[in-house]
Amino acid sequence: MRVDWNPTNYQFAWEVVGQYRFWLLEGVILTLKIALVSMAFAMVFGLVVALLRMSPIWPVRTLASIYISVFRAIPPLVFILWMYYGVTLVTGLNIEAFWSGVICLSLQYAAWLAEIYRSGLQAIDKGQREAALSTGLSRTRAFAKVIWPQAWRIIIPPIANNFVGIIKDSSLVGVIGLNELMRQSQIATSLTFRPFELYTAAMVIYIVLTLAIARMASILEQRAARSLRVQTRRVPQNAPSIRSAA
Amino acid sequence: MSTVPTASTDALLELNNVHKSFGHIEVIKDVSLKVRKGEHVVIFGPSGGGKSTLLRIMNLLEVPDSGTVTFQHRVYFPHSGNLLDKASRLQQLRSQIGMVFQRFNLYPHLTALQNVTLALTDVKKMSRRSAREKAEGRLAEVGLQDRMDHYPAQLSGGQQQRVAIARALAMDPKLMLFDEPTSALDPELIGEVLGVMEKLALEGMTMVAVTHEMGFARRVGDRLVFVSGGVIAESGGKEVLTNPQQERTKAFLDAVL
Repeated sequence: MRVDWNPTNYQFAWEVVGQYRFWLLEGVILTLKIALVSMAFAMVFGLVVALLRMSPIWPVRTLASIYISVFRAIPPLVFILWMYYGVTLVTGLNIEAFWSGVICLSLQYAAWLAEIYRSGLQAIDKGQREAALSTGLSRTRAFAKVIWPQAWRIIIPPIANNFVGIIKDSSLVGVIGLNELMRQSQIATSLTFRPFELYTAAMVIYIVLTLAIARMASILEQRAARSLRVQTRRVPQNAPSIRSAA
Repeated sequence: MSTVPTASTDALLELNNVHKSFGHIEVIKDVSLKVRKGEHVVIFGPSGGGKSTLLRIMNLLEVPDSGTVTFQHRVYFPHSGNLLDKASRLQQLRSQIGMVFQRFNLYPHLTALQNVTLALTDVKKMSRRSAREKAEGRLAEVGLQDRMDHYPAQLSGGQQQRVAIARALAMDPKLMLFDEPTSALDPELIGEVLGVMEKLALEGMTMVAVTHEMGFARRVGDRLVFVSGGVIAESGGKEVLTNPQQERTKAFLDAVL
């Protein structure tokens, strides 16, 4: 007995993907722009939050920890809509859609990244810092020259996971009218009535982007490993990784 | 308890009436100790007695709750001045005091040579070239001239500890602190580290060593300090080992010898 895998006799029209290739390319470019800018902000801000989270002053520590809990708990889609439609209405600020999206993704990913930084930094034996301080290095220099290079190597993989996450979550900013890859495919679909072909193309593109990031991460990791022959203590894998979009 | 420290002229480092608690546990109870230039002080005693904490107070890796820490007639604790001032004074103190740790604490991402040059270029602001020359000299002194480009993971424990000693010596310290430098070593590797320490002592380096190596204590120690329960229970010359006055010292020595 033959199982019909295409019971509706659907006639594929893959040529629409070719016809809309520049349209999709535009979407990819905006997706990458949003993801890169958000990731850059999130990496810097996340490190600040991580350092505050480890502060010896308890109110600072508590504030950082509240920040992390709150921003990890909000679904990104809700946050984006709230920021673009809600906050602009209340404050009268006219924030561009691009920056609304970037602010939301940065703030949320900073919270995830902060916990990754923290786990990486805490995995470094405190004797390392003491040794550096005992030779007269300042706390800042001890961090920059001794702690950070060791922690960085450990956190490359989870950071790359978050970059993948930010690319996927960038598909949500389509709802506020940003023509990133997801929204471009959506518009093309409404013009051609070819959802299968166009969304397949979008998925393939997301997969390619993800694989490219994974490749870059492993190159970075190998480079870091070359200068750090010894296996530092592994970070417990409770560090957040890829999350599904909204 | 709050006597004004009267630094005698020959004291390099002076602790006066130092107290330190961790939580509710007082680990150092009103300890005063003077280290003279060229002197070799050996601190020994049961674990948990406060030996390491006492040593770490000397370069203020551990900040005491009260008392004074004086180095070369300058008071480093209690701090005065603003925060920036305090940080730079701490750096100044530590760059003059070398410390060797029980678990070596070499930087795993740097070669033996880079481990030694880091503070030279960073703290002493030496050029990379002269830092390198100096580091090579120090590593040669501890017998590691052919291991300079190795990473710590490629070295034995004894070699790692000798790199750590070279790292501390490269700063031209006026005082060396050793915190159980041989406790993490395999028995056959202890000798090479003790050998380097004895050579240093012979060259006149001022040192304070926390150690369980009673043979080393007997050979090198000018002053033996028995620390137990957060206080200096007994202190003196080699007679502390041969003819202890306190029951606690006697019991400890009976157990380890």
